[in-house]
Amino acid sequence: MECTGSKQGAFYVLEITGRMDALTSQGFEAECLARLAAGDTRIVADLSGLEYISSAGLRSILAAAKKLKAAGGDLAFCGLSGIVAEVFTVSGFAKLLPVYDTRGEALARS
Amino acid sequence: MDEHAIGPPTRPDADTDEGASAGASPNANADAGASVLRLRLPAHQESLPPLRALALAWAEQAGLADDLVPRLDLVLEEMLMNVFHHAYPGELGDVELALIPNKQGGPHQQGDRTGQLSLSLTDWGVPFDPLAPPDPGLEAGLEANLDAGLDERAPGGMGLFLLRTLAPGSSYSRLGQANVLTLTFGA
Repeated sequence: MECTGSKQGAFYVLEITGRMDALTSQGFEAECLARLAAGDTRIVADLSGLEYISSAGLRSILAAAKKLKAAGGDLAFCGLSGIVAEVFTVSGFAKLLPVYDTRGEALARS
Repeated sequence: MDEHAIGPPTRPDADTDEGASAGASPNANADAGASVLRLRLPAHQESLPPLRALALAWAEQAGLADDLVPRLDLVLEEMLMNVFHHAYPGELGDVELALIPNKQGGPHQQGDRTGQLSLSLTDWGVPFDPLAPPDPGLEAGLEANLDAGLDERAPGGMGLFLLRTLAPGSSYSRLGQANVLTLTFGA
Protein backbone atom coordinates (compact mmCIF):
# COMPACT_ATOMS: atom_id res chain seq x y z
CA MET A 1 0.00 0.00 0.00
CA GLU A 2 1.25 3.45 -0.97
CA CYS A 3 -0.15 6.73 0.28
CA THR A 4 0.39 10.12 -1.32
CA GLY A 5 -1.45 13.23 -0.28
CA SER A 6 -2.18 16.84 -1.09
CA LYS A 7 -4.28 19.65 0.29
CA GLN A 8 -7.27 20.49 -1.93
CA GLY A 9 -9.35 23.35 -0.56
CA ALA A 10 -10.93 22.33 2.74
CA PHE A 11 -9.91 18.72 2.24
CA TYR A 12 -6.80 16.64 2.41
CA VAL A 13 -6.80 14.08 -0.40
CA LEU A 14 -5.00 10.79 0.14
CA GLU A 15 -4.38 8.68 -2.94
CA ILE A 16 -4.14 5.06 -1.89
CA THR A 17 -2.61 2.54 -4.27
CA GLY A 18 -1.73 -1.14 -4.09
CA ARG A 19 -3.20 -3.49 -1.51
CA MET A 20 -4.75 -2.92 1.90
CA ASP A 21 -4.23 -6.34 3.48
CA ALA A 22 -3.33 -7.72 6.89
CA LEU A 23 0.32 -6.87 6.34
CA THR A 24 -0.05 -3.28 5.11
CA SER A 25 -3.33 -1.75 6.15
CA GLN A 26 -2.31 -0.21 9.48
CA GLY A 27 -0.47 2.32 7.32
CA PHE A 28 -3.80 3.86 6.34
CA GLU A 29 -4.87 4.63 9.90
CA ALA A 30 -1.35 5.90 10.67
CA GLU A 31 -1.46 8.24 7.68
CA CYS A 32 -4.88 9.62 8.69
CA LEU A 33 -3.69 10.16 12.25
CA ALA A 34 -0.61 11.97 10.96
CA ARG A 35 -2.88 14.29 8.95
CA LEU A 36 -5.07 14.79 12.00
CA ALA A 37 -2.01 15.71 14.05
CA ALA A 38 -1.09 18.20 11.30
CA GLY A 39 -4.53 19.81 11.62
CA ASP A 40 -6.41 18.22 8.71
CA THR A 41 -9.70 16.78 9.91
CA ARG A 42 -11.51 16.37 6.58
CA ILE A 43 -9.93 13.63 4.50
CA VAL A 44 -10.92 12.23 1.11
CA ALA A 45 -9.37 8.86 0.32
CA ASP A 46 -9.15 8.34 -3.43
CA LEU A 47 -9.14 4.56 -3.90
CA SER A 48 -8.99 4.50 -7.70
CA GLY A 49 -5.51 2.97 -7.52
CA LEU A 50 -6.40 0.48 -4.79
CA GLU A 51 -6.45 -3.08 -6.14
CA TYR A 52 -7.49 -5.00 -3.06
CA ILE A 53 -8.87 -4.64 0.45
CA SER A 54 -9.52 -7.22 3.16
CA SER A 55 -11.23 -6.98 6.54
CA ALA A 56 -7.92 -5.78 7.98
CA GLY A 57 -8.21 -2.78 5.65
CA LEU A 58 -11.80 -2.20 6.75
CA ARG A 59 -10.70 -2.21 10.39
CA SER A 60 -8.03 0.39 9.65
CA ILE A 61 -10.60 2.56 7.84
CA LEU A 62 -13.14 2.21 10.65
CA ALA A 63 -10.57 3.18 13.28
CA ALA A 64 -9.46 6.22 11.26
CA ALA A 65 -13.03 7.32 10.53
CA LYS A 66 -13.99 7.18 14.21
CA LYS A 67 -10.98 9.27 15.25
CA LEU A 68 -11.58 11.88 12.53
CA LYS A 69 -15.23 12.10 13.50
CA ALA A 70 -14.33 12.50 17.17
CA ALA A 71 -12.14 15.45 16.12
CA GLY A 72 -15.06 17.06 14.29
CA GLY A 73 -13.91 15.96 10.86
CA ASP A 74 -14.81 13.19 8.45
CA LEU A 75 -13.44 10.59 6.07
CA ALA A 76 -14.92 10.18 2.59
CA PHE A 77 -14.05 7.85 -0.28
CA CYS A 78 -14.06 7.96 -4.06
CA GLY A 79 -12.94 5.92 -7.03
CA LEU A 80 -13.88 2.44 -5.79
CA SER A 81 -13.90 -0.37 -8.31
CA GLY A 82 -13.69 -4.15 -8.57
CA ILE A 83 -13.21 -6.13 -5.37
CA VAL A 84 -12.79 -2.90 -3.37
CA ALA A 85 -16.28 -1.71 -4.37
CA GLU A 86 -17.65 -5.20 -3.73
CA VAL A 87 -16.17 -5.39 -0.23
CA PHE A 88 -17.46 -1.90 0.63
CA THR A 89 -20.93 -2.96 -0.47
CA VAL A 90 -21.20 -6.36 1.23
CA SER A 91 -19.63 -5.09 4.46
CA GLY A 92 -22.05 -2.18 4.75
CA PHE A 93 -19.18 0.35 4.61
CA ALA A 94 -20.72 1.94 1.50
CA LYS A 95 -23.68 2.96 3.68
CA LEU A 96 -21.65 3.69 6.78
CA LEU A 97 -19.24 6.16 5.21
CA PRO A 98 -19.60 8.81 2.50
CA VAL A 99 -18.68 7.18 -0.82
CA TYR A 100 -18.59 9.09 -4.13
CA ASP A 101 -17.99 7.97 -7.68
CA THR A 102 -15.46 10.69 -8.46
CA ARG A 103 -13.02 12.85 -6.56
CA GLY A 104 -14.79 15.91 -7.91
CA GLU A 105 -18.02 14.87 -6.21
CA ALA A 106 -16.22 14.11 -2.96
CA LEU A 107 -14.62 17.58 -2.97
CA ALA A 108 -17.85 19.35 -3.91
CA ARG A 109 -19.70 18.35 -0.73
CA SER A 110 -19.95 20.77 2.14
CA MET B 1 9.37 -26.07 20.67
CA ASP B 2 6.56 -28.55 20.69
CA GLU B 3 4.65 -27.23 17.75
CA HIS B 4 3.86 -30.54 16.12
CA ALA B 5 2.73 -32.34 19.24
CA ILE B 6 -0.94 -31.84 18.45
CA GLY B 7 -0.76 -32.66 14.77
CA PRO B 8 0.13 -35.65 12.64
CA PRO B 9 3.80 -36.36 11.91
CA THR B 10 5.43 -33.43 10.29
CA ARG B 11 6.16 -33.56 6.61
CA PRO B 12 8.33 -31.59 4.23
CA ASP B 13 7.22 -28.02 3.64
CA ALA B 14 6.18 -28.72 0.11
CA ASP B 15 5.40 -31.78 -1.94
CA THR B 16 5.64 -31.49 -5.65
CA ASP B 17 3.50 -33.60 -7.85
CA GLU B 18 6.04 -35.72 -9.64
CA GLY B 19 3.51 -36.86 -12.20
CA ALA B 20 2.74 -33.32 -13.27
CA SER B 21 6.28 -32.01 -13.28
CA ALA B 22 7.49 -35.01 -15.26
CA GLY B 23 4.51 -34.92 -17.58
CA ALA B 24 4.45 -33.68 -21.14
CA SER B 25 1.91 -30.93 -20.53
CA PRO B 26 2.91 -27.84 -22.52
CA ASN B 27 1.83 -25.69 -19.60
CA ALA B 28 3.75 -27.59 -16.96
CA ASN B 29 6.48 -24.98 -16.81
CA ALA B 30 4.28 -21.96 -17.36
CA ASP B 31 4.51 -21.26 -13.67
CA ALA B 32 6.84 -23.41 -11.66
CA GLY B 33 5.08 -22.52 -8.40
CA ALA B 34 1.83 -24.00 -9.60
CA SER B 35 3.29 -27.51 -9.75
CA VAL B 36 3.52 -27.58 -5.95
CA LEU B 37 0.34 -29.28 -4.78
CA ARG B 38 0.52 -28.53 -1.08
CA LEU B 39 2.40 -26.21 1.22
CA ARG B 40 2.57 -26.53 4.99
CA LEU B 41 3.95 -23.59 6.95
CA PRO B 42 3.89 -22.19 10.47
CA ALA B 43 0.57 -20.50 11.24
CA HIS B 44 1.85 -16.96 11.48
CA GLN B 45 1.66 -13.82 9.42
CA GLU B 46 4.94 -14.34 7.54
CA SER B 47 3.33 -17.38 5.87
CA LEU B 48 0.67 -15.29 4.17
CA PRO B 49 2.73 -14.14 1.13
CA PRO B 50 4.02 -17.62 0.07
CA LEU B 51 0.62 -19.27 0.56
CA ARG B 52 -1.08 -16.48 -1.37
CA ALA B 53 1.44 -16.68 -4.21
CA LEU B 54 0.84 -20.42 -4.52
CA ALA B 55 -2.95 -20.06 -4.57
CA LEU B 56 -2.72 -17.35 -7.24
CA ALA B 57 -0.42 -19.58 -9.34
CA TRP B 58 -3.03 -22.36 -9.10
CA ALA B 59 -5.76 -19.91 -10.07
CA GLU B 60 -3.76 -18.88 -13.14
CA GLN B 61 -3.18 -22.49 -14.13
CA ALA B 62 -6.83 -23.39 -13.57
CA GLY B 63 -7.96 -20.52 -15.81
CA LEU B 64 -10.07 -18.98 -13.05
CA ALA B 65 -12.14 -16.01 -14.24
CA ASP B 66 -10.56 -12.61 -13.63
CA ASP B 67 -13.35 -11.44 -11.33
CA LEU B 68 -13.02 -14.56 -9.15
CA VAL B 69 -9.28 -14.23 -8.51
CA PRO B 70 -9.63 -11.27 -6.10
CA ARG B 71 -12.38 -13.17 -4.25
CA LEU B 72 -10.06 -16.13 -3.83
CA ASP B 73 -7.31 -13.75 -2.68
CA LEU B 74 -9.62 -12.14 -0.13
CA VAL B 75 -11.22 -15.29 1.28
CA LEU B 76 -7.82 -16.98 1.57
CA GLU B 77 -6.41 -14.03 3.54
CA GLU B 78 -9.44 -13.92 5.82
CA MET B 79 -9.29 -17.64 6.56
CA LEU B 80 -5.52 -17.67 7.04
CA MET B 81 -5.70 -14.75 9.45
CA ASN B 82 -8.43 -16.59 11.31
CA VAL B 83 -6.16 -19.64 11.72
CA PHE B 84 -3.13 -17.47 12.62
CA HIS B 85 -5.02 -15.66 15.36
CA HIS B 86 -7.35 -18.29 16.77
CA ALA B 87 -6.36 -21.88 15.93
CA TYR B 88 -3.45 -22.24 18.33
CA PRO B 89 -3.95 -20.18 21.47
CA GLY B 90 -0.65 -19.82 23.26
CA GLU B 91 1.37 -21.98 20.88
CA LEU B 92 2.54 -22.10 17.28
CA GLY B 93 1.12 -24.75 14.97
CA ASP B 94 0.98 -25.27 11.24
CA VAL B 95 -1.39 -24.48 8.43
CA GLU B 96 -1.49 -26.33 5.14
CA LEU B 97 -2.82 -25.19 1.79
CA ALA B 98 -3.54 -27.99 -0.71
CA LEU B 99 -4.83 -28.05 -4.26
CA ILE B 100 -7.79 -30.33 -4.84
CA PRO B 101 -7.23 -31.73 -8.31
CA ASN B 102 -9.61 -30.62 -10.99
CA LYS B 103 -12.04 -33.38 -11.93
CA GLN B 104 -11.37 -32.70 -15.61
CA GLY B 105 -7.65 -33.15 -15.00
CA GLY B 106 -4.78 -31.28 -16.55
CA PRO B 107 -4.24 -27.58 -17.05
CA HIS B 108 -7.08 -25.53 -18.38
CA GLN B 109 -7.23 -24.46 -22.03
CA GLN B 110 -5.14 -21.36 -22.37
CA GLY B 111 -7.16 -18.20 -22.81
CA ASP B 112 -10.38 -19.79 -21.60
CA ARG B 113 -11.14 -18.04 -18.32
CA THR B 114 -13.96 -20.31 -17.19
CA GLY B 115 -11.95 -22.65 -15.00
CA GLN B 116 -12.67 -23.96 -11.53
CA LEU B 117 -10.33 -24.03 -8.56
CA SER B 118 -10.79 -26.04 -5.38
CA LEU B 119 -8.37 -25.86 -2.52
CA SER B 120 -8.30 -26.88 1.10
CA LEU B 121 -6.97 -25.14 4.16
CA THR B 122 -6.05 -27.40 7.08
CA ASP B 123 -5.01 -26.68 10.64
CA TRP B 124 -4.62 -28.92 13.66
CA GLY B 125 -5.84 -26.44 16.22
CA VAL B 126 -8.98 -25.99 18.24
CA PRO B 127 -12.10 -27.28 16.47
CA PHE B 128 -13.76 -24.44 14.59
CA ASP B 129 -16.30 -24.46 11.76
CA PRO B 130 -16.23 -21.06 10.03
CA LEU B 131 -19.36 -22.03 8.09
CA ALA B 132 -21.44 -23.13 11.09
CA PRO B 133 -24.72 -21.28 11.09
CA PRO B 134 -24.17 -18.62 13.73
CA ASP B 135 -26.72 -18.68 16.49
CA PRO B 136 -29.64 -16.40 15.64
CA GLY B 137 -28.61 -13.81 18.20
CA LEU B 138 -25.13 -13.52 16.77
CA GLU B 139 -26.44 -13.39 13.21
CA ALA B 140 -28.89 -10.65 14.13
CA GLY B 141 -26.04 -8.86 15.89
CA LEU B 142 -23.91 -9.04 12.77
CA GLU B 143 -26.75 -7.82 10.56
CA ALA B 144 -27.34 -4.97 12.99
CA ASN B 145 -23.63 -4.26 12.99
CA LEU B 146 -23.61 -3.96 9.20
CA ASP B 147 -26.25 -1.26 9.48
CA ALA B 148 -24.80 0.36 12.57
CA GLY B 149 -23.58 3.92 12.54
CA LEU B 150 -19.96 4.88 12.89
CA ASP B 151 -20.06 5.17 16.66
CA GLU B 152 -21.92 1.92 17.31
CA ARG B 153 -20.11 -0.26 14.88
CA ALA B 154 -17.81 -2.88 16.32
CA PRO B 155 -14.91 -4.28 14.31
CA GLY B 156 -14.48 -8.03 13.95
CA GLY B 157 -16.57 -10.86 12.58
CA MET B 158 -16.14 -9.45 9.10
CA GLY B 159 -13.78 -12.15 7.85
CA LEU B 160 -16.30 -14.93 8.40
CA PHE B 161 -19.03 -12.81 6.87
CA LEU B 162 -16.90 -12.26 3.76
CA LEU B 163 -16.23 -16.02 3.55
CA ARG B 164 -19.94 -16.84 3.56
CA THR B 165 -20.78 -14.04 1.14
CA LEU B 166 -17.96 -14.32 -1.39
CA ALA B 167 -17.18 -18.06 -1.36
CA PRO B 168 -20.57 -19.77 -1.45
CA GLY B 169 -19.00 -23.06 -2.63
CA SER B 170 -17.25 -23.75 0.68
CA SER B 171 -17.43 -26.69 3.06
CA TYR B 172 -15.93 -27.65 6.39
CA SER B 173 -14.97 -30.99 7.95
CA ARG B 174 -13.40 -31.93 11.25
CA LEU B 175 -11.17 -34.85 10.29
CA GLY B 176 -9.55 -36.42 13.32
CA GLN B 177 -7.60 -33.59 14.94
CA ALA B 178 -7.79 -31.38 11.86
CA ASN B 179 -10.01 -28.53 10.70
CA VAL B 180 -10.35 -28.77 6.92
CA LEU B 181 -11.98 -25.94 5.01
CA THR B 182 -12.57 -26.50 1.32
CA LEU B 183 -13.03 -23.51 -0.96
CA THR B 184 -14.27 -23.78 -4.53
CA PHE B 185 -14.33 -20.94 -7.04
CA GLY B 186 -15.72 -21.05 -10.54
CA ALA B 187 -18.41 -23.02 -12.34
